[in-house]
Amino acid sequence: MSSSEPRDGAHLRVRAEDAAAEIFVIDAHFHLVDRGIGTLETPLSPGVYKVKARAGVQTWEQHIVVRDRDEEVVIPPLDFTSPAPLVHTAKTHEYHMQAASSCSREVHVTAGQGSWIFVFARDWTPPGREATRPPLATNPARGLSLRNLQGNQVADFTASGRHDLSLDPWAACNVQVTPGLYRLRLERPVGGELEQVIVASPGWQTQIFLLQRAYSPEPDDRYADLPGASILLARGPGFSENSADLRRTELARLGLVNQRRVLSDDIRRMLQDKVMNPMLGIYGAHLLLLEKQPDLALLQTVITNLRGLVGMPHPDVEALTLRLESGAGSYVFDQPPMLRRSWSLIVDATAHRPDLVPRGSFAATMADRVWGEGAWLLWMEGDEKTPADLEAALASEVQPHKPSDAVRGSTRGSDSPFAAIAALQAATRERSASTRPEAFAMPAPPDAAARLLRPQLDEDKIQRLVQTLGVPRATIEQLVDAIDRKVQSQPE
Amino acid sequence: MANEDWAIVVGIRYYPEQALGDLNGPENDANAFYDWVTSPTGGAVPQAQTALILSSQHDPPFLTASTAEPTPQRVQRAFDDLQDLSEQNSRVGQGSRVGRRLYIYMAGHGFAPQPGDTALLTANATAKRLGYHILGKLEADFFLIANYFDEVVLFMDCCRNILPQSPRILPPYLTVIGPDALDKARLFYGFGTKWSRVSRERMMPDGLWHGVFTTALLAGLNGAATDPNGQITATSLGDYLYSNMKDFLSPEDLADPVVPKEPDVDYDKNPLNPFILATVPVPDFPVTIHLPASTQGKTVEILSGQGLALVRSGISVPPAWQVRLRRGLYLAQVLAAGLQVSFEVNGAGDVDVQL
Repeated sequence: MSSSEPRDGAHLRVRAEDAAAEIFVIDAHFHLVDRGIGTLETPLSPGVYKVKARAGVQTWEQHIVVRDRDEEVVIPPLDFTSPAPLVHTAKTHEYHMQAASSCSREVHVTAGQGSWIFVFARDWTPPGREATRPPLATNPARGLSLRNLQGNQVADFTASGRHDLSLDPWAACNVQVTPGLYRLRLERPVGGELEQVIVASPGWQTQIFLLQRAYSPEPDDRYADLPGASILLARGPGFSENSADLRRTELARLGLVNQRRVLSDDIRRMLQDKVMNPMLGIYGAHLLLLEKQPDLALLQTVITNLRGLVGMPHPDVEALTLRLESGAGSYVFDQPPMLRRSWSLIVDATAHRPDLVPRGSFAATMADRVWGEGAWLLWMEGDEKTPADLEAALASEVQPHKPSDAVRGSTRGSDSPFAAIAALQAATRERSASTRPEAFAMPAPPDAAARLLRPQLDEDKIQRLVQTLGVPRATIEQLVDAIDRKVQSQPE
Repeated sequence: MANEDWAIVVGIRYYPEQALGDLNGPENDANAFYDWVTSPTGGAVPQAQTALILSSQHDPPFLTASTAEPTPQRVQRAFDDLQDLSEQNSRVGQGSRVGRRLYIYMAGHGFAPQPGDTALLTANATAKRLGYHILGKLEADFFLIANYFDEVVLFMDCCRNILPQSPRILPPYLTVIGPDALDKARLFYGFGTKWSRVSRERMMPDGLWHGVFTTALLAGLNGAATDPNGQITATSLGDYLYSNMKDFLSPEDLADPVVPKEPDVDYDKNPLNPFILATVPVPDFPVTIHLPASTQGKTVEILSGQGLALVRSGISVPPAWQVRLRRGLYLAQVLAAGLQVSFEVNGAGDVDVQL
């Protein structure tokens, strides 16, 4: 509930069926009067108001006339967009829901026991636009595979499981695995291999739902949308399209992606619950940290509950502990977490605790290949450009007056696109030509010792680099050493 | 004051490469924005201080992307010239300030190399040459932070799909922090869509193709976004765009969950020091109240949404009653017939109300 200045008139009570829906009350001059999450109660003077709700990017509006009696508005579930084929979402079909529900209860690949990883990739076409959709050459899981931490293939999602390409296509595969960390990989013929960590917790099914996205303007470059994935957890195998729990969890993910403060009182209460859905707990904890003054006592409770629920060390849960005074204990992040926000917590903490991400670990080497946007921490295998970019950024941080290499040159024509400037140039062209400087005096290049980065990096600079470059301290130190070795090996 | 203002207006319509393809709206949009920004009743920027850069200035059609214009260099030239002016001013001891306000308007294909970016693709870009672009926000940031202008107003009507593997080409300037950057600098940045999403164009009631964001923007700037004092402030324009952009979408786009219904707007929100973009007479808009036959001879009233005060009344003569009202929420009623309906005048066009 939220409040505003008391007014003559009545109270308006608004309740959204989606607890994470944002609610806005707007007056007749379109000024925001009050806002809330999930529910709202506000005193209003007589007038016509607009009640607006938002879930994801979906909005809903209704006018309400307030006189001298209290009014109540109930906001129905909003058809927000989700890769998970949940009821009352926008981009789904009945046959997608049914396929996800039934296939998630089958086992298509057995690679261990105690946990499951279910992938459901699909495409969706807006009604009436089927003819304009670029056709999918094969199934929507093409290029997708599950790997172990050594990079070995556990399941090929194109070859295994079930699929149907007759309408808006779908492909499903449930892999029974031993609890632990895995990697979901997307291989595209052009553009390299995209990867992310998937955690399989004992007794839980990790459900990964993927729509399609264009990775470039090329019509054929349309593959599963890893950055936009919905990742949910279910106790044992089985996806339920009607689950209010999963819907709430998905809205929390969207709130995190859109950086909306959507932590309602209802969700706060659930976070204290020892039987909450772990993904809701992880998303909720990050939403908590978005607040100006995060409730760290509640965060501690969520972490304690999550540790009990997931039943094994989970990098995203352990990352959350870094915001507590007690820190992450002895946990070492030699593998990356699932969420990008978890990674940010880890990276920031390495400024003071370099041991959190050990030098040479996979997490340290992955850090300079982080890719894309969205909730998930993705990295690009074999992307050779990114380390060079990082190297340039590092050099410019250490020597901030050096202009970036990645600048655009300017071709000077004869006339300015501004008539005022063109007139000025015409009047002064001859004079400026005669006074043009002969050449810039270039300073002599510094010697190798002066060009070494390590001696220029004090503790403050390293900590600032961790924050500005968004990579762990170990990665920066590795890179600095590599650059300095290169400098020393070059002839004077 | 507007004599101290400058504007860069870019509309790129032709993209020879098939994967991108031509657009219909950007030139119409750029021309419409140019008309507003140079109009004495709009931005009032002198024409000589307004750079208009269009595809059609370069003899289209273009055979290949490589020969197509405008290129990044051509657009960058406009920014460079302003930067040159700043340096000239500095050299003669007048400080680096160029003017009071810089307007930047860009329409065409776009994308986001990184979350938060908006890159306008120039005509020589292709699906594999995405490096030909202008990062509008970074250009705007540079001129604002350097204090070359006190205020920067940026509008970009283009898609913002994130393509993280694409090159990110920065403006060619060393960062300069002006002495008054924190105290004086004010901004209004408006983008047709949130980052990672698409922008839309369609045929509008004027019979021309326009971007949905630009149509809403110009409706707002031409008066629909005025506050009760007749001022278009950053806040009133932001509120208007958030509330009303969806009203310019086609019914199909409105129903399409992929198409965002709100723009992305960032502006100074200090209520004690409102950022006034323009001052115009408060407009009113035509409203048709459709009256059922049963209301014949009864009193029909329109109440203001603020306080439910009576703003219009008359005797019902079906089938319709024409009135003009300012933007806002209202209540129409025929109490004797037990009829009542709330409605909204949003400034997006004629309003039909069925009692």
